[in-house]
Amino acid sequence: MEVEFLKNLPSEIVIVILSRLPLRTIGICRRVRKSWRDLIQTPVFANSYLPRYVSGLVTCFDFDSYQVFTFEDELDLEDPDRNYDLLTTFDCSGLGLSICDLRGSVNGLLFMHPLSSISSEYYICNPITREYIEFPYEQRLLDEEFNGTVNYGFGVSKVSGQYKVVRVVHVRKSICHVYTLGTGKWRRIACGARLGRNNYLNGAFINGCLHWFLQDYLISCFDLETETFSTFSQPPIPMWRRHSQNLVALGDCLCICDNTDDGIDFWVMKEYGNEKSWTKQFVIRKGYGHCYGEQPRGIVYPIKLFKDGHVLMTWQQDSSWFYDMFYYSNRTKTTRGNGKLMSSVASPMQAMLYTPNFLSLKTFPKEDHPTLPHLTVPPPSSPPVHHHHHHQAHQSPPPPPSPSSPVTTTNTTISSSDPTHKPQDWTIFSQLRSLPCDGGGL
Amino acid sequence: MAAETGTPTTLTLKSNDDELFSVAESAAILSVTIRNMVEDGCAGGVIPLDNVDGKTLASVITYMNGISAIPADEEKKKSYRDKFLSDKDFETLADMVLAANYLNMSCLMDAVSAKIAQVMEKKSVGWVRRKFGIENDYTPEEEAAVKEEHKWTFEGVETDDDN
Repeated sequence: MEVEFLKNLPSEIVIVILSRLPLRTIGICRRVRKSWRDLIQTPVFANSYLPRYVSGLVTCFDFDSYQVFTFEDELDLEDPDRNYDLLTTFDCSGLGLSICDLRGSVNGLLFMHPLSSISSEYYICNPITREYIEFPYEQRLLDEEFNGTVNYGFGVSKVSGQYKVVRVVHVRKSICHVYTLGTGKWRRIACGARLGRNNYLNGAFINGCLHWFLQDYLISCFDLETETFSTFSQPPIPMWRRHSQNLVALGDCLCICDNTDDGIDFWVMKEYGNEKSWTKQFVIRKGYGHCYGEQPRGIVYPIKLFKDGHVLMTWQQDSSWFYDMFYYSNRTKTTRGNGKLMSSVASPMQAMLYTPNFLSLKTFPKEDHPTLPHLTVPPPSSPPVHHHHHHQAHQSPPPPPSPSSPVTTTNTTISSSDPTHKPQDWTIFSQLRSLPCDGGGL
Repeated sequence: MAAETGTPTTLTLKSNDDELFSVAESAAILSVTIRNMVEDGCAGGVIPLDNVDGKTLASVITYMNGISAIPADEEKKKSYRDKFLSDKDFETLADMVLAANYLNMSCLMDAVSAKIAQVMEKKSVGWVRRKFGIENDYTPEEEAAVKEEHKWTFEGVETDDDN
């Protein structure tokens, strides 16, 4: 009798129970019953699941290979490799997307934009469901000839839960457009102060708002709910160092990471919106024995602040597409390389926090674009086609046989603790391309 | 009500199989459903709980008494909940989650669903279907397609012995 009763378990109870499961077990539950599958891909389920979930990581290699990791909140620095669990891999070429740059990551959805400056396509992708939405930028909305800076942002509004892509361009004035997922169109909205004239492309998303640097010690704050701009003041950081400052969301706080000659300063707005709460939280000292690599110039991207105060971050060398990934140990006050994420597959191009879940893009009302392709993963017997050169995406010969265990059998060992290493060895990437699309060998 | 006499008020709860239980009002109002009845003055006689059987209600009352005896100390409450649920089998947990939902007891609901989730972890599709009494409504082709979509989710999962 109980069994009969359970069969008709109200969906709100199913959500309460299933949203506490680890992602892999949720994947199992999708197979149990159609109604469970449908429930698991709803925003209601995602909203119940996401707050409990420790953010994972998405890394991008070579612009078209991506890996999704889960990791622990408690970082074991004695053996940091152990903390990373590779969930899945995906490949833009496998998905039929252009070669993309990651521009934002919110609630398991990635906002990607092709690198090519003439391309006007944008993508929202869920690598777990392998669905994507493709939407173009409508040229007619831009009323002037444009070749300046573009700032992007991707986030979700606090009350109505709408996912929005924001694009701000700077011609003689700032022009802002918003694309709400599910509406199929861009809208132009009023810009407050003139934004930008900087190269920080991706808005820092926190508290339902996107943030970019402004001039005059200000930060621009765009509320995704009300679609209005406001400003915060910055801590007193010399403006001439602007090229090596970064504005990010770190933990629950807005953070400015300032790469100076002597160290990497972390300024944190301890209380959101309170300009008096800017605090120089900690400094990573430079110099031998303290700082992994040298990071003399360039932007440091803090990614994750762990419970015990350790920080995972990447650093972009000047005029390079390559990023070094490293940790700061709050205990020893020094930095070190990240073995697993670097030694086996070279440096990632980019890394962002990512919270994998099964939120389906089908839950967004009809896009104007006719298809919302659901991408099936090739069966293991027919390896996915991976291209060897970006320009030959569709003419390339079949790849060499995929290694059965993609990461561990890649024998390229680059000592991550070797500060002189410059990850420019392209042969590494030929091995990478043979990774199966789904990580099916895992 | 208790204020008038200074002695603890006792409520009488009736399960759907007609068992009667006495419980201190201060413990019973952990259930928002019961609290609302008390506040509306409908708790004078016997409170019928049509969706809870006697075995489950006895268990819930044990929990009510146990947790309300603990002063405001989240650590101790948590350890009581863990201990209380440690020896419960899946069927009992399933009954309790339904009871906690009906009685609107969020702390018990959270604890029981977390425990169920813990039991379900890495179990096979067949196991979940059996325990929840769910019939497979996928066609073989559909099921193969769903399985194919997320192969990585099946790492470290118990193998199905029935499908």
